[in-house]
Amino acid sequence: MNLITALDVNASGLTAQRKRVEVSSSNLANSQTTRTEDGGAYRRKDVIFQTTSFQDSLSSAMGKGVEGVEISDVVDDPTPFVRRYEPGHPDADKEGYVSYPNVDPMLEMANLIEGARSYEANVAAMGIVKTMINRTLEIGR
Amino acid sequence: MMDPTGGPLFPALENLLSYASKRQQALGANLANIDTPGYRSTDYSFEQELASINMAATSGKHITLQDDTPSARQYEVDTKAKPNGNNVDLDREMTEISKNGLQYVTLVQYLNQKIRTLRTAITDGGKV
Repeated sequence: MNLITALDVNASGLTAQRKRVEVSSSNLANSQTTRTEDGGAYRRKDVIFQTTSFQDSLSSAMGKGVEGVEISDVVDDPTPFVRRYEPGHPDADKEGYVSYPNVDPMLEMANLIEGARSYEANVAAMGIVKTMINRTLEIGR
Repeated sequence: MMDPTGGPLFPALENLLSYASKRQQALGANLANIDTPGYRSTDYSFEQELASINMAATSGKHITLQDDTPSARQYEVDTKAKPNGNNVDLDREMTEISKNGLQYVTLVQYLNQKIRTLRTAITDGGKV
Protein backbone atom coordinates (compact mmCIF):
# COMPACT_ATOMS: atom_id res chain seq x y z
CA MET A 1 0.00 0.00 0.00
CA ASN A 2 1.21 3.44 -0.98
CA LEU A 3 0.76 5.17 2.36
CA ILE A 4 2.39 2.39 4.36
CA THR A 5 5.41 2.65 2.06
CA ALA A 6 5.42 6.41 2.70
CA LEU A 7 5.68 5.61 6.42
CA ASP A 8 8.53 3.16 5.76
CA VAL A 9 10.42 5.73 3.72
CA ASN A 10 10.17 8.31 6.48
CA ALA A 11 11.18 5.64 9.00
CA SER A 12 14.34 5.03 7.00
CA GLY A 13 15.03 8.77 7.35
CA LEU A 14 14.56 8.52 11.12
CA THR A 15 16.99 5.60 11.38
CA ALA A 16 19.63 7.34 9.27
CA GLN A 17 19.39 10.63 11.17
CA ARG A 18 19.50 8.87 14.54
CA LYS A 19 22.63 7.00 13.51
CA ARG A 20 24.20 10.24 12.35
CA VAL A 21 23.47 11.89 15.71
CA GLU A 22 24.90 8.83 17.49
CA VAL A 23 28.15 9.07 15.53
CA SER A 24 28.35 12.81 16.15
CA SER A 25 27.80 12.28 19.90
CA SER A 26 30.54 9.66 19.93
CA ASN A 27 32.87 12.16 18.24
CA LEU A 28 32.07 14.77 20.89
CA ALA A 29 32.51 12.29 23.75
CA ASN A 30 35.92 11.29 22.39
CA SER A 31 37.16 14.78 21.58
CA GLN A 32 40.06 14.38 24.05
CA THR A 33 40.71 10.63 23.68
CA THR A 34 44.41 9.98 23.03
CA ARG A 35 44.30 6.19 23.39
CA THR A 36 42.24 3.86 21.20
CA GLU A 37 42.25 0.12 20.47
CA ASP A 38 43.94 0.77 17.12
CA GLY A 39 46.59 2.82 18.89
CA GLY A 40 46.98 6.57 18.62
CA ALA A 41 44.33 9.23 19.13
CA TYR A 42 40.63 8.90 18.28
CA ARG A 43 39.84 9.67 14.67
CA ARG A 44 36.65 11.60 13.94
CA LYS A 45 33.95 9.47 12.25
CA ASP A 46 31.62 10.61 9.51
CA VAL A 47 28.50 8.95 8.06
CA ILE A 48 27.69 8.42 4.37
CA PHE A 49 24.04 8.82 3.38
CA GLN A 50 22.88 6.69 0.45
CA THR A 51 19.54 6.14 -1.24
CA THR A 52 17.86 2.74 -1.04
CA SER A 53 15.00 1.75 -3.32
CA PHE A 54 11.69 0.70 -1.89
CA GLN A 55 10.52 -1.53 -4.72
CA ASP A 56 7.00 -2.86 -4.54
CA SER A 57 4.85 -4.04 -7.42
CA LEU A 58 3.30 -0.60 -7.82
CA SER A 59 6.44 1.46 -7.84
CA SER A 60 8.23 -0.85 -10.26
CA ALA A 61 5.34 -0.32 -12.67
CA MET A 62 5.73 3.45 -12.25
CA GLY A 63 9.30 3.36 -13.47
CA LYS A 64 11.39 5.09 -10.89
CA GLY A 65 10.72 3.58 -7.48
CA VAL A 66 10.51 5.43 -4.19
CA GLU A 67 13.87 6.07 -2.64
CA GLY A 68 14.49 5.74 1.07
CA VAL A 69 17.77 6.46 2.76
CA GLU A 70 20.36 4.50 4.72
CA ILE A 71 23.77 5.04 6.25
CA SER A 72 25.89 3.01 3.84
CA ASP A 73 29.16 3.49 5.70
CA VAL A 74 30.81 5.16 8.67
CA VAL A 75 34.20 6.47 7.56
CA ASP A 76 37.22 8.01 9.29
CA ASP A 77 37.89 11.69 8.82
CA PRO A 78 41.39 11.88 7.26
CA THR A 79 42.19 15.39 8.49
CA PRO A 80 45.38 15.52 10.63
CA PHE A 81 45.28 15.26 14.42
CA VAL A 82 45.64 18.37 16.55
CA ARG A 83 49.17 18.44 18.04
CA ARG A 84 49.68 20.13 21.37
CA TYR A 85 52.92 20.63 23.26
CA GLU A 86 52.50 18.77 26.55
CA PRO A 87 55.83 17.16 27.50
CA GLY A 88 54.41 15.84 30.80
CA HIS A 89 51.67 13.84 29.09
CA PRO A 90 52.23 10.04 29.05
CA ASP A 91 51.23 9.91 25.35
CA ALA A 92 53.63 12.67 24.29
CA ASP A 93 56.09 11.83 21.48
CA LYS A 94 59.86 12.43 21.59
CA GLU A 95 59.50 16.15 20.89
CA GLY A 96 56.89 16.45 23.65
CA TYR A 97 53.84 16.80 21.40
CA VAL A 98 50.57 14.99 22.06
CA SER A 99 48.23 14.12 19.17
CA TYR A 100 44.65 14.99 20.06
CA PRO A 101 41.62 13.85 18.01
CA ASN A 102 40.67 15.82 14.89
CA VAL A 103 37.25 16.57 16.41
CA ASP A 104 35.90 20.11 16.04
CA PRO A 105 33.19 20.62 18.70
CA MET A 106 31.64 23.44 16.67
CA LEU A 107 31.22 21.17 13.64
CA GLU A 108 29.74 18.37 15.76
CA MET A 109 27.23 20.73 17.37
CA ALA A 110 26.11 21.94 13.93
CA ASN A 111 25.85 18.32 12.83
CA LEU A 112 23.76 17.40 15.88
CA ILE A 113 21.34 20.28 15.34
CA GLU A 114 20.99 19.48 11.64
CA GLY A 115 20.35 15.83 12.45
CA ALA A 116 17.73 16.70 15.06
CA ARG A 117 15.93 19.05 12.63
CA SER A 118 15.86 16.46 9.84
CA TYR A 119 14.59 13.87 12.34
CA GLU A 120 11.78 16.21 13.40
CA ALA A 121 10.83 16.86 9.77
CA ASN A 122 10.46 13.12 9.17
CA VAL A 123 8.38 12.72 12.34
CA ALA A 124 6.08 15.56 11.20
CA ALA A 125 5.63 13.95 7.78
CA MET A 126 4.81 10.62 9.43
CA GLY A 127 2.14 12.36 11.51
CA ILE A 128 0.47 13.63 8.35
CA VAL A 129 0.64 10.19 6.70
CA LYS A 130 -0.94 8.63 9.79
CA THR A 131 -3.82 11.14 9.57
CA MET A 132 -4.29 10.20 5.91
CA ILE A 133 -4.40 6.49 6.75
CA ASN A 134 -6.88 7.04 9.58
CA ARG A 135 -9.17 9.05 7.30
CA THR A 136 -8.96 6.33 4.66
CA LEU A 137 -10.22 3.83 7.22
CA GLU A 138 -13.23 6.08 7.80
CA ILE A 139 -14.39 6.03 4.17
CA GLY A 140 -18.00 4.88 4.00
CA ARG A 141 -18.60 4.92 7.75
CA MET B 1 -31.96 10.25 -13.58
CA MET B 2 -29.29 9.91 -10.98
CA ASP B 3 -26.77 7.14 -11.50
CA PRO B 4 -26.71 5.16 -8.25
CA THR B 5 -22.97 4.53 -8.57
CA GLY B 6 -22.26 8.23 -8.95
CA GLY B 7 -21.16 7.87 -12.56
CA PRO B 8 -17.51 8.72 -13.17
CA LEU B 9 -17.30 10.50 -9.81
CA PHE B 10 -16.20 7.56 -7.66
CA PRO B 11 -13.47 6.36 -10.04
CA ALA B 12 -12.29 9.98 -10.34
CA LEU B 13 -12.08 10.38 -6.56
CA GLU B 14 -10.37 7.02 -6.27
CA ASN B 15 -7.77 8.11 -8.83
CA LEU B 16 -7.20 11.39 -7.02
CA LEU B 17 -6.75 9.59 -3.69
CA SER B 18 -4.23 7.22 -5.21
CA TYR B 19 -2.48 10.20 -6.78
CA ALA B 20 -2.28 11.96 -3.41
CA SER B 21 -0.90 8.90 -1.62
CA LYS B 22 1.65 8.33 -4.37
CA ARG B 23 2.68 11.95 -4.11
CA GLN B 24 3.01 11.65 -0.34
CA GLN B 25 5.39 8.77 -0.95
CA ALA B 26 7.60 10.84 -3.26
CA LEU B 27 7.58 13.84 -0.88
CA GLY B 28 8.40 11.58 2.07
CA ALA B 29 11.33 10.13 0.12
CA ASN B 30 12.62 13.66 -0.52
CA LEU B 31 12.50 14.36 3.18
CA ALA B 32 14.25 11.10 4.07
CA ASN B 33 17.02 11.96 1.60
CA ILE B 34 17.50 15.53 2.77
CA ASP B 35 21.18 14.85 3.56
CA THR B 36 21.99 12.37 0.78
CA PRO B 37 24.67 13.81 -1.52
CA GLY B 38 23.57 14.11 -5.15
CA TYR B 39 19.89 13.32 -4.44
CA ARG B 40 17.41 15.20 -6.66
CA SER B 41 14.02 16.09 -5.24
CA THR B 42 11.12 14.54 -7.17
CA ASP B 43 7.41 15.29 -7.27
CA TYR B 44 4.26 14.53 -9.27
CA SER B 45 2.53 17.27 -11.20
CA PHE B 46 -1.21 17.69 -10.85
CA GLU B 47 -1.51 19.39 -14.24
CA GLN B 48 -0.19 16.30 -15.96
CA GLU B 49 -2.45 14.19 -13.79
CA LEU B 50 -5.43 16.25 -14.89
CA ALA B 51 -4.37 16.01 -18.52
CA SER B 52 -4.66 12.22 -18.26
CA ILE B 53 -8.39 12.66 -17.70
CA ASN B 54 -9.90 12.53 -21.16
CA MET B 55 -12.10 15.61 -21.49
CA ALA B 56 -13.27 14.81 -25.03
CA ALA B 57 -16.25 12.65 -24.09
CA THR B 58 -19.44 12.07 -26.08
CA SER B 59 -20.80 15.37 -24.84
CA GLY B 60 -18.90 18.47 -23.83
CA LYS B 61 -20.49 18.20 -20.39
CA HIS B 62 -19.12 14.72 -19.75
CA ILE B 63 -15.94 13.91 -17.93
CA THR B 64 -14.73 10.38 -18.46
CA LEU B 65 -11.61 8.76 -17.16
CA GLN B 66 -9.04 6.94 -19.16
CA ASP B 67 -8.51 3.35 -18.21
CA ASP B 68 -4.83 3.61 -17.47
CA THR B 69 -3.85 4.40 -13.92
CA PRO B 70 -1.75 7.52 -13.42
CA SER B 71 1.87 6.59 -13.87
CA ALA B 72 5.28 7.96 -14.69
CA ARG B 73 4.40 11.61 -14.26
CA GLN B 74 7.25 12.19 -11.89
CA TYR B 75 9.44 15.21 -12.47
CA GLU B 76 12.55 16.62 -10.84
CA VAL B 77 11.93 19.68 -8.68
CA ASP B 78 13.81 22.74 -9.91
CA THR B 79 15.24 24.05 -6.64
CA LYS B 80 18.80 25.23 -6.21
CA ALA B 81 21.24 22.45 -5.37
CA LYS B 82 23.47 22.60 -2.31
CA PRO B 83 27.24 22.16 -2.79
CA ASN B 84 26.84 18.38 -2.34
CA GLY B 85 24.46 18.19 -5.33
CA ASN B 86 21.36 17.67 -3.17
CA ASN B 87 18.46 20.01 -3.98
CA VAL B 88 15.91 19.07 -1.28
CA ASP B 89 14.40 22.26 0.17
CA LEU B 90 13.04 21.48 3.65
CA ASP B 91 10.49 24.34 3.67
CA ARG B 92 9.15 23.41 0.25
CA GLU B 93 8.81 19.74 1.13
CA MET B 94 7.08 20.41 4.46
CA THR B 95 4.64 22.83 2.79
CA GLU B 96 3.84 20.36 0.01
CA ILE B 97 3.43 17.49 2.47
CA SER B 98 0.97 19.55 4.55
CA LYS B 99 -0.95 20.66 1.47
CA ASN B 100 -1.08 17.14 0.05
CA GLY B 101 -2.28 15.73 3.38
CA LEU B 102 -5.03 18.34 3.59
CA GLN B 103 -6.09 17.68 0.00
CA TYR B 104 -6.30 13.98 0.76
CA VAL B 105 -8.46 14.56 3.84
CA THR B 106 -10.68 16.92 1.83
CA LEU B 107 -11.18 14.29 -0.87
CA VAL B 108 -12.09 11.66 1.72
CA GLN B 109 -14.57 14.09 3.29
CA TYR B 110 -16.16 14.72 -0.11
CA LEU B 111 -16.30 11.02 -0.91
CA ASN B 112 -17.96 10.33 2.45
CA GLN B 113 -20.54 13.03 1.78
CA LYS B 114 -21.39 11.41 -1.56
CA ILE B 115 -21.73 8.00 0.10
CA ARG B 116 -24.00 9.49 2.81
CA THR B 117 -26.19 11.02 0.12
CA LEU B 118 -26.50 7.65 -1.60
CA ARG B 119 -27.31 5.96 1.70
CA THR B 120 -30.01 8.50 2.44
CA ALA B 121 -31.53 7.81 -0.97
CA ILE B 122 -31.43 4.07 -0.31
CA THR B 123 -32.77 4.01 3.24
CA ASP B 124 -35.08 7.02 3.35
CA GLY B 125 -36.41 6.79 -0.21
CA GLY B 126 -39.37 4.62 0.73
CA LYS B 127 -40.51 6.80 3.60
CA VAL B 128 -43.40 9.14 3.02
